[in-house]
Amino acid sequence: MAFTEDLSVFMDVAEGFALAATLNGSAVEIISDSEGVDVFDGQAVTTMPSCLISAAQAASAAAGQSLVVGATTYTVRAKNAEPPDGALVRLTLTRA
Amino acid sequence: MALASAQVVDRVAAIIAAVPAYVGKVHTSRAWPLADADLPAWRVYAESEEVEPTGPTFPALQSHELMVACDGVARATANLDDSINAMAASALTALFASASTARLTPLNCAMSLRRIDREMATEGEAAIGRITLALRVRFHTFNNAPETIT
Repeated sequence: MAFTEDLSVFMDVAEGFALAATLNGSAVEIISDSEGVDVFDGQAVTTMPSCLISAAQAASAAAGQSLVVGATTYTVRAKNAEPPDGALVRLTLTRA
Repeated sequence: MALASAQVVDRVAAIIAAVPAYVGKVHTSRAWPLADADLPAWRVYAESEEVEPTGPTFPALQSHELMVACDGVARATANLDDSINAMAASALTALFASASTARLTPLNCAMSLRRIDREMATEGEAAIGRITLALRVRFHTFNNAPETIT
């Protein structure tokens, strides 16, 4: 029997780690990430926000679109398929 | 009192800190990183200092050439270059507002701008930029009075 992937388990807002968001005006579910990054040899520290989203919900995602998560609005800077199969997509973000 | 070069750094910092946009945002002794919430901000510090005695007598009059770096750091998601250039413009306007500021009065110095460097971070949100003003400050001390600019 062929394996059928169920990404809804990963993108469960009610019971899991996902967050409800709005991507370019459409409701989506994401897993948010925000890594700290040193810049200018440690003179400043900033963040590298990104999120995982299902490929289906990211089908129309593009650089320049807005992603609203709670009270924070981000701008999509890049869209890259996550290995190994691209079922999830990582959106690289910047706070608007 | 403090070492003459430290007095110079403090005076430069005080002039930039008098710009309304930078009140409380100019640092002279901060080694830990600036966070997004701290920006825009300046770090002012002494770099190299060349000292040349001007004669064989004691106490010897010494000519100092101190390089002072002013790093302006800003965050902007659009037109970041404009943001850091605006920081430099406002700081330079204050530093060279008059002959008095260019002499770092009440210190007796001669300050000139030697270089401007720009850098934009590509890490993280790629929204942070830095502009560095390299200032040359000349002054004199006697070798037995390192805390007194003559």
